Amino acid sequence: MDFLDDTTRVDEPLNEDELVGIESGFVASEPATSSPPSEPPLFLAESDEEQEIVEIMQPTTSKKQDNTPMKRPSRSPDLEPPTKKRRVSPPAVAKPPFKSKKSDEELSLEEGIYIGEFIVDAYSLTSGHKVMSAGQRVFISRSPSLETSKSNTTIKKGDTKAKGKQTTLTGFVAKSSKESRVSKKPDNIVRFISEHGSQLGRLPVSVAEFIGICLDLKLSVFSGVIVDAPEKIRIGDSIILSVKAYFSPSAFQKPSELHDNESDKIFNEGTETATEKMLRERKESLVKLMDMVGLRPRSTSQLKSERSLEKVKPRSAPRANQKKRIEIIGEGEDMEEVEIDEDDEETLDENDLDLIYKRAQKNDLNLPEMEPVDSFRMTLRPYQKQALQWMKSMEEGLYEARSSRSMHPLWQEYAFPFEPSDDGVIDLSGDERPFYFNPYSGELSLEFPKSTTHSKGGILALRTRRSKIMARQFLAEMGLGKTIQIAALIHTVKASAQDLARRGEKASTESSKPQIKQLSIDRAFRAKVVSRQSNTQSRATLVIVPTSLLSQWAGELQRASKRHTLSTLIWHGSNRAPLSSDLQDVDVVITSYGVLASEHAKQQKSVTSSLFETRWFRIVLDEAHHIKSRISKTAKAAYALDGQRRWVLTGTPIVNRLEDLQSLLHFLQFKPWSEYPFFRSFITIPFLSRDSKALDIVQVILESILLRREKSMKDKEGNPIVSLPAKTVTVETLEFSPLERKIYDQIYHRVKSTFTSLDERGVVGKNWHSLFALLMRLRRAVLHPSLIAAGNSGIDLDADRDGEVDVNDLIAEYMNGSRANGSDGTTSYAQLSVALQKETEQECPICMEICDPPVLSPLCMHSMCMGCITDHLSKCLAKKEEGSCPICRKGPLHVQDLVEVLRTKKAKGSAASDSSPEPEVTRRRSPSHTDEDATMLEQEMIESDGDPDEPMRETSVEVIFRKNNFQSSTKLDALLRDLRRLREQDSTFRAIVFSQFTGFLDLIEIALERDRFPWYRLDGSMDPKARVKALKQFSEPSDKPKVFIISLRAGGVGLNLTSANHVFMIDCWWNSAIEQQAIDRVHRLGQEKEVFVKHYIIAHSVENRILQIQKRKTAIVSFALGKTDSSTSEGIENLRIMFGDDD
Amino acid sequence: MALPKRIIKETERLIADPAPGISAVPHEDNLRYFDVKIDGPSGSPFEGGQFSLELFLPEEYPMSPPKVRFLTKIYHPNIDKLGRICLDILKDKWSPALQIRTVLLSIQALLSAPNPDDPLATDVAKHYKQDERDAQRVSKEWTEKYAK
Repeated sequence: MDFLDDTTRVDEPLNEDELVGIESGFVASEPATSSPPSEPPLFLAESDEEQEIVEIMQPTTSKKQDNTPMKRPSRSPDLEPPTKKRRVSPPAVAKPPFKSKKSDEELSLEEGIYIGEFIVDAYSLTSGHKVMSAGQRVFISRSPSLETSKSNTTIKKGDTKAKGKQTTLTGFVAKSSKESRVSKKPDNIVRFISEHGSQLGRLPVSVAEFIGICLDLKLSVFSGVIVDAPEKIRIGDSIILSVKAYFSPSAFQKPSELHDNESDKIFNEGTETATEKMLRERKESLVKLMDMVGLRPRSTSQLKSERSLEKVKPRSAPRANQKKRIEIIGEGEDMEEVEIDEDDEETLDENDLDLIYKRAQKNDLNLPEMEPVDSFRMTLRPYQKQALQWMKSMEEGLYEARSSRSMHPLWQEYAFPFEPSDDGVIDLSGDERPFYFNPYSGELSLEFPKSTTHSKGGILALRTRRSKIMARQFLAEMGLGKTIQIAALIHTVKASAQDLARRGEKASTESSKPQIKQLSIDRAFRAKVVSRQSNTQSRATLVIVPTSLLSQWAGELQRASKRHTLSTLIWHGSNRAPLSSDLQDVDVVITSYGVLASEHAKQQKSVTSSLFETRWFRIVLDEAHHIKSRISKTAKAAYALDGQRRWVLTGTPIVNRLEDLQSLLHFLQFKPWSEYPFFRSFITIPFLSRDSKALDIVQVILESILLRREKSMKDKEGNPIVSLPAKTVTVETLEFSPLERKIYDQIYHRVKSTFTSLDERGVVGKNWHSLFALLMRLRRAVLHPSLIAAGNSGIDLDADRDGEVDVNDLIAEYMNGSRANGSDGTTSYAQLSVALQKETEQECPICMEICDPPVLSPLCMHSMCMGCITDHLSKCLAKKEEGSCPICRKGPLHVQDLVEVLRTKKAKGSAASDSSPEPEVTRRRSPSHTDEDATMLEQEMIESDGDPDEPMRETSVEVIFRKNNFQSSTKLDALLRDLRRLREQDSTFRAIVFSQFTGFLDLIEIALERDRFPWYRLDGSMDPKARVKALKQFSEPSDKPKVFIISLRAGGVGLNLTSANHVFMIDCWWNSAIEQQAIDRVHRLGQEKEVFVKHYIIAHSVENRILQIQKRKTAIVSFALGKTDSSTSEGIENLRIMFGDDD
Repeated sequence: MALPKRIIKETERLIADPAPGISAVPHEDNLRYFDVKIDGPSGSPFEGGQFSLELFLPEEYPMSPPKVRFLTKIYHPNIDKLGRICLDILKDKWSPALQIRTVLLSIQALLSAPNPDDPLATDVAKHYKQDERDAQRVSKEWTEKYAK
């Protein structure tokens, strides 16, 4: 109230009284004011004095009223509309009060709402003696003085004068924005002038920048009091000002109509329009202003406090952001097609992810529970009941499901502070009045901005927009019974007649809507729009899962249901029948992503596909990170599905890029975030520039859409929702044997020099593929030298032939055992093999059982079990004796000399093809296996008849002699050692062995075979049937140990392997999350034993480096996938780590 | 502790198809412990005697040799007062391919062919070296005295 002058007061009382009576708040006052034109609060566009006072002022009185309690309640409901009206009215009204004020020189700030005060160190623009004194009131204004600033004044003048004509805010705003734009460069000066209109000084640029815009846009008004000024002042002297800031009513008006379809406008146009710029400036200025006066959101999330330190920093970022955004806009649609965006590495580290989820989980403890219906057979745990209630509510659009008051994600709630009043009367009776601010659009509002994503109200517009988004994302970490929960949902919430009936109607409304959005949407979407018209309704739920989980899902659904209450259909396989006929009696259709994609391809070719011709009651995507790349075919196909309710199940909604989430939102049709450009500009780009707000938004989005369960979570009583047995993870670092080291180093140095030379020439990016292949080769070398034997991957390390030979020689030496002893096995294996073939069972002299697997001593052809003889020889070794044949004592005999005899069905074509037969040569090293799948590595095969050139296809058994030398791979040794130990402790243990390399799986297989471990295998080449069979066999009870070897990529997700409690990770993956997921196959609900996990790492190898990269938390997925465009600096940086020197 | 299949098999075979002059019967309460009887080989000073031995299969068997000891007193350069036997295959020349049967046969053979050059009972060995005939006489006496 500093500004209140006595005179004003005298003049105003009338007004005040009236106002008090009539209006209840500054905004609410509008209607009232508009009718009695004389009184109302005015916009003081102060022009006639030239003195461009941009502030909007109101009679003092109303300001006081603001603080009075009575006004608040009435005003809040309908703030917005009135403001608009008011716009219209002021002009007419404006003059009188303005005049009076003017003459009194007292500008009333009545219309502004006090928001805070700040101190500024300003500069003097005048000189003289006693020009200013402490306590003097000043106006804050854009124009330097009454006459001087033509540019501003004229326009402003125009404004004021024209006010009568200016009926819409937009016009007004647009104009001023233009003006500000024009004048911005030359003039971001904000001055303060004396009550008499003479210029006293200016505010510092840092402040002036945003205050200027606030003034220009009539967002706020300011009044100042000089706190301190030198008595004798010169130009440039510092003056301390205390500035009070007020929001003017117009600030609460929508900046323009534009906001609603902001995305369209922003992204359709290549350049930033004047309006957009205005909006942006408005936003930035408001943010700064609020920061300056110390307004903080009232509803603070946990994040806020943690971030407060950074508060200042992000501020500088937005400008850059904006530029970036413009650029991207420029590229517009192309980007979608061209995938340029992929090269951003907006990866997240774990802390980010934790923060993101934190809010979403905040209120989960108190979710109400719900019992499933009778037809559901299983008993849900409390947290599952909660989830059921939540899902049901979500589907039905009851957004109170979570008790939190969901604000629109972009909005924040603030409270108006009370202004310290002049007259010493502090109105304590007032409530805190909240107001809401959207720091992204710059909008201010007095109404509670509901989270529109939830609004399912009766309004038609909203309904068309949202109602089909019954879709929610529900996610639980693996092993927490997602399947069960979805099953409960399917049972509990069935399609009602209403749902079925309504569909047609909805479909039509929807089909019209998307067109608005089309600019940002790819062709797939258009196709959908067209096809949607004719879609047949179904009451079925469509479940899309990875192929390996098809039958698991079907099984679990059945298990969860009482007999005949749920019919499921697995729609998979090349001879799947068209769906439509079945759908009437089917509750759940389960299909795979593969089918989804191929059906979509069909659909694209305008062959109708029943999958897309059906309007599903509910669609569930399991392991939904399959669609995380929005440009993938699978994702596009998923978007094109037509469903009323949509669910997404995933353990990792954000794998390591925020945009992973976008694709899910797109599928869920969770507007507006489902639109890529929108997501990108409000989330991705801010995140890239380290603006922490991005994470805030993601949090809020997730809060409204995501239910997350983790094994570690606690329920209301503080008990873990799931008590899983302990998990012990150990990492064993192994040392290469000298020869392995030699081989590895050879290859490593070759690869390294290749990289270095490419890097020096700066062409790493171009040679990404080959470098990646070389890396893979290194990683194989770590596992077992034979895996990189010549020709394996078709990549020559170098043109350097000699070197190649060198390595191959080393490998050969390795294959033959480190001791050269090649040629003394002179016995004819061919003859022997005949005998062996007939006499299939030989008793081992040591264990007196059938040799399993049989090996021969090459010296005497005595045969025994591999395990027995190995034991014996190692015993000899321990006694420092030479090993010898236990039967005839012929020696020296070494483990690697042993010849393994394999009897196999002649099924493996690859093995047979490998047998370029050499009659009596028994020791052919064969690193010549050309494909990774060749199971028989380093094998020596002898066809069993006398004429090896003509393999006997008739015999069902073939005998293969293989030198027992591959076992000495360090990793294999370690694995087998541990397995043997396990077997000693527990003869019925179950273990899982993960590796990424099927070639190595082959070797493990052989090693297991040798050690008589019953094993099972699952890899990507197996069809679903075989997988199911392997899984089943593995989980069957038995008194023998069982080992399951699984390709990490095929078995990392979804499988339930709780029958095992030992996990061995043979190699490491770029992204530890993938490993984690694999481990969770075992450590999940249903596991009853303690789980032991062991990683094997070879010291001083590429694996250390991979661990380093993992630790950097910036695992680059694209890198791992070998994408062509992943030649980012990040990727290269990671390569440098790979090839860096050892510390 | 489960009995390895090998031990069971050996036992079965020893009983079903015993080596001539040798019997080995496991204790009922400990199947790794055998009562062994070996007939003195004909043509040796031990002829006509029946010698009792005990044989124990250690945990590591067959990776480690069985432990065998004479219970019957015997005058033999390679067998000491305590009945311990000096035989290479029971020590460093053990091979897992050897069995109870082969061990016992070897012991029987040792009775036929004492080896005083690698003695365990040094006084007996000395005796055998200096006056084999007299030594054999003592062996015979002992056989009469203890092994009948």
